[in-house]
Amino acid sequence: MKRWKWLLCVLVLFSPTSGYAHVGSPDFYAEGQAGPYKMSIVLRPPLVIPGVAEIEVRTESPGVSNITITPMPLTGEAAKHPPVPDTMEKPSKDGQFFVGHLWIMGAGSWQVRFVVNGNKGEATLSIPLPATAIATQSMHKGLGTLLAVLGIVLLLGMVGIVGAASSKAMLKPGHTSSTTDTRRGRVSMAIASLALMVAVVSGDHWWAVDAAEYAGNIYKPLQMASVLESGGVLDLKLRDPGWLRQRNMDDLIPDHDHEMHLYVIRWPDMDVLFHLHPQPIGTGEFRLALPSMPSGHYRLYADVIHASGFPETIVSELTVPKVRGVPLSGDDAEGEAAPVTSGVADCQHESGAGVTKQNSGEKRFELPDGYTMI
Amino acid sequence: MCLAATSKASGYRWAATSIAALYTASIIAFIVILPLFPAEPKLGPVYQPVTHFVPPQFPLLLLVPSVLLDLLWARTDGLSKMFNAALRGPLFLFSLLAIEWPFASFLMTPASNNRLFATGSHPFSVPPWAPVVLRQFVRNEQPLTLIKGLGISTVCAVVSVWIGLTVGDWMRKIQQ
Repeated sequence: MKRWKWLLCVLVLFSPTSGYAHVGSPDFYAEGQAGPYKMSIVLRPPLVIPGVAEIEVRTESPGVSNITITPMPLTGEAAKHPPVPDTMEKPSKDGQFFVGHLWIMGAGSWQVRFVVNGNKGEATLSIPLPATAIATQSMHKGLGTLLAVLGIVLLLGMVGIVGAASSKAMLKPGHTSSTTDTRRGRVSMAIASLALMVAVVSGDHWWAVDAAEYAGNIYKPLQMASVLESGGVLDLKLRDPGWLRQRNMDDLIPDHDHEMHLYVIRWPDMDVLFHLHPQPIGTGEFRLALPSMPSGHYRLYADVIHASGFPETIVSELTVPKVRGVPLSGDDAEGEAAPVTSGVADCQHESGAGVTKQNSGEKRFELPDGYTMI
Repeated sequence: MCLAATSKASGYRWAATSIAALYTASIIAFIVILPLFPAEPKLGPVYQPVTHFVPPQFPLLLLVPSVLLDLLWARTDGLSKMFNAALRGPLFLFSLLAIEWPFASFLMTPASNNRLFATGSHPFSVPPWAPVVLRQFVRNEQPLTLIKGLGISTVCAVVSVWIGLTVGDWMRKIQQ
C-alpha cells in the first residue's frame, strides 16, 4: 500500500510535465502546464547544501502577473507544511520572464511548487528538484587574505589586552610600572600567545574534521556492473559506493511503469540507440534479454528512482558482438542516426521552411512510454 | 566560572544567586512573551506547523546550586583558591544534578506541556521522530558513560571555579 502511495505521488508530480537533464550536469529543464498557463522552467540546484537554487521561468502565454515559488520535500512529514513562498521577480521589461532564488537546506528529493496568478485565475505546478552537494566550494583568495589579516590583528590585540590587564591596569593612577610589573605583563603575554596558538591549531583541526565530514556527503552515484551472459542476456548489478546512509537499493519505485529505464548508445558514433526496461530479479540486480543489435562498444545510462523521489542516473559500458536477440516489446524502442563525426552530428531536419541543417541536439524523439529524447 | 568570578569580584553576599535569578527570570520571560507574537517559517523543510514564535526550553535550575555557593562562600572566604575550587566545583555539579534530574523527568511528561514549561513547542526544523518531540530518554548503552561523564564534569567544574576565582581576584585589583 505504501509503495503505491509513493508511486501515486511521483506520477502526480510528473504527469503534467516533461523534463530532462544531462548526465554530469545538475541543471534541470522542464516544460509544464500550470492550469491554463504553459511554462518553460530552468532549475539550477545549488552545488553545495545548504545552498541557493536559481530558478527561471518563461510563460508561453501572456497575462501572468505574479508567480510564487515554495521549496518542499517531495515526500514525508515536511511535504505537508510549506514555508512562506517567495515571489519571483521580472528582471527585465519582458513580462513573461521571471527569476527567483530558493534556499535548499538539506540533501534529498525536493519539489518547487509554483503558484501562478494571471488573467485566467490561479494555478499550481510542482516540479521535482533533486538536491545534493556535488562540490566543495573554496574561499575566494581575496576574502581569505582579508580574513587572515584581520585574524592576526585580532590575536595580537588579545595578547596586548592580556599584557595590559596584568600590568598597567593594576597600577594606581600616577604610578609608573616597576620591573616586576613589566615582567608579569610579559609572562602573561607569553602565556596568552601560547594559549591562542593552541586555540588556532585546535580550530584548524576542527575545520579539517568538519570539511572531511562534508566531503563524505558529496554525491556519489550508484555504480553498475554490466555483464553479457550467454543467450544475449544482460545482467546489471548495482553497487553502492557509500554516500548518505538513507540511500538504499531496495526502495526503487516504478516510474512510467518500470523500475529502470536503460538507454544503450553505441559509442563513439552514437548512431544506434535503444531504450530498454530491465526487470528486477533481486535487490540491486536487473536482467534483460537483449534485442537484436549490431556489434560495438555501448554506453549504458540507467535511470532509477528511489521511494523518496530521488532520481539517479547510473552509467556503465559494455562491448557486445552482433546479437540476434528477442523482438522489442512493450515500451522498448530503438533508433538509428547518422554517425557523429568531429564531435557534432549534422542531420537533415525537416521544417516548415524547407530542408535545413541543424545540430542533432535539437531533434526530439517521442518514446512510447512518455519519455522524450533530445 | 561566571558565578565564581562575579562573587569574588563584587564581594556581594548573594552575587551568584542574583545572576542565576536574572538568567532564570529572563528565560521564563521569553517563554511567556514570545508565543504571543505570530511568526511563520521562511525556510524548508518544515516539520512542525509553527504559527507563532517558538519559546526557548525551560532554564536550568541554576538557582539551587547558586544559593548553596553563596551560603558556602560566607564560611570559606579565607581558604586558598585551590581548596575553594575543590569544594565549590563538586558542590555546584552535584547539587545541580540532584535537582535537575527529577525536574527533567517531569519535563518529559505531557503534564509539562503548558504555557510555563512549554515542552510541546518545537522549532519548525525539528522532525517528529526526534527524541525531544517523542519525549524519549536517550539511554547510552555503555554502563560507565554516566560515571565517566560525571568524573570529567567534576574536573571541569573545579578548573572552571579556579579560573573564575582568579579572574575575580584580578578584577578586584584593577585600578585603571
